[in-house]
Amino acid sequence: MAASFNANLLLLARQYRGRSQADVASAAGLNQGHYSRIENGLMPEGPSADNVERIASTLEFPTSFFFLQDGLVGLPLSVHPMNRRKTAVGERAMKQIHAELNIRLIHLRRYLRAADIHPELPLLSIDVDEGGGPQAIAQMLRKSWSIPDGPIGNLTDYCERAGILVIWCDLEKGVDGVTMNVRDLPPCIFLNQRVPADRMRFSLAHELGHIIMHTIPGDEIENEANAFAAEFLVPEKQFRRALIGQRLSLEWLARQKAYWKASMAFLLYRAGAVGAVTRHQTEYLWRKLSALGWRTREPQETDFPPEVPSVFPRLVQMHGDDLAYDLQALQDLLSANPNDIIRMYHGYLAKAGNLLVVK
Amino acid sequence: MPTPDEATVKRTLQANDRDIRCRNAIERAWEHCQGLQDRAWWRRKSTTAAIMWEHSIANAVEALDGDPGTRVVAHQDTTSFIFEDTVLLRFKRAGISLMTSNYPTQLANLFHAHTRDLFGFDGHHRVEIVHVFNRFQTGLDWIGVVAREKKQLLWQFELRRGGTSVVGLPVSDRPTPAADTVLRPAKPGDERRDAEEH
Repeated sequence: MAASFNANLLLLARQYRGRSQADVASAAGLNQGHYSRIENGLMPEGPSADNVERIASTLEFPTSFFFLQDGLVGLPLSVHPMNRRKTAVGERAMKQIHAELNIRLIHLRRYLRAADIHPELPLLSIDVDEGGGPQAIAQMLRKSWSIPDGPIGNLTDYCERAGILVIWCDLEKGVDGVTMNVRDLPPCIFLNQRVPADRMRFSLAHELGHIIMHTIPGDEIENEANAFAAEFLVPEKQFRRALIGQRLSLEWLARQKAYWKASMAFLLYRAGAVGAVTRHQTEYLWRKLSALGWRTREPQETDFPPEVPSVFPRLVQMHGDDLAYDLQALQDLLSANPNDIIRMYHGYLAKAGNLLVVK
Repeated sequence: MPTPDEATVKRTLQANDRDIRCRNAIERAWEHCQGLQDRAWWRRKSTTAAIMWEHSIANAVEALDGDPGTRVVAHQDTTSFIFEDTVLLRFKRAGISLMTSNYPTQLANLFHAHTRDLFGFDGHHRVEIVHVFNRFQTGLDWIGVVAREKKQLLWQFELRRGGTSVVGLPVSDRPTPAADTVLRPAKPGDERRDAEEH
């Protein structure tokens, strides 16, 4: 039986390109009303092959994309507008993120036909109230993963060993990380690769908190994920010990940053939150950080290298290296156009010898 | 008691790649310090400085071992190096002004007073190899040789890097990346996949 036209994917493709119905209809030579009926799935027989061709060409997707039968996932918990205090990201940008992540999940399903994920560490699922709150859950997870006292050397590696796919991508400014937890795929954390390593690491811990603690949205999920991340990355008990008898200064924060691999701003906030320093001290340093512009960008000398994921890149690379896929084969596998494939995966494809020869 | 001559010192240090060996000695000492977990809560900067010094000296002694023109001399609770009986060199930490900050004992003051002999050795060009940290002590900004006349800087040059300098790489908690064990090729004949693909 021939696959049927998937109108939801047409909407997704249009949002991915950030274009309006009128724009796409006009570029495809269609009446907007007709196009709207196609996009809303109101054509009992589906659109004609010719119209599909024209729309696909306008949106720069292969026609095969519109016949995939993948279901779509709604806005993830962590970027749901209901849970965002600031509306830093516009509605159109949010739709684009939604589209990009769904397309990436469609690709991931196909990539994962060639490999299985075998987690080494348990991925707990704990209700916040039953687990005693975010702090206690963070401590429990540290124990469960046998993480020694002190900083977590490579958080990305731990997450991957627990079966979470950590995927770098370009997200809109204002969105640092997004969790997508879909029934038929491993949990995925998408991280905005444009932000500094300290923020990436905090976002990863924050998103991990969502995966562990949140299955349904609630008013407090963002605060809970932040509290989880704070305790997971910088356990209060250990941090308090480091603060005893210290005179807080920017130099001290810089040294702590190198040790804990967390931003100076976060550590200052944490120092205040654990109650080991006076409000006067923290306020003074906040003013200094602001005056120096370090609340936007901390000094380069304090930067540390980002934690590079290994599992997802290897999954993409193995298609080029082990399975000898060239760009055409990847287009067929993913139902994607070559420019999108290169944009999304160029960092990994560059290492896949077979793909380099195809331009 | 010569005022240190830059060309003489440079030539003496470049012989047998002594300059590169000294630089590597300091860089290795810094790598060691970075690996010290306790460093985050140390209260005195001088703790890092003391450990840096000990390891720099130990590394340099090891690296210069077998160089017939090198003499290691211990005196007054410190250690210096004399090269070809011409250059007397000590290891120090300095600020961005390249001034080291010794407690002003008579001996410390005399090191940079070239009209006077020190330690019972005559006629050496007395200079310092210094390392300069960045403002947060999270990395080394400069390693070089500095000559002073009392509080006045006479000249300085940066030490050469060796062709195979040690580069710090991010270290994973585990020896192999997660992908090596977590990701496994699917077994042939997987029914789920076959069904999906048709």
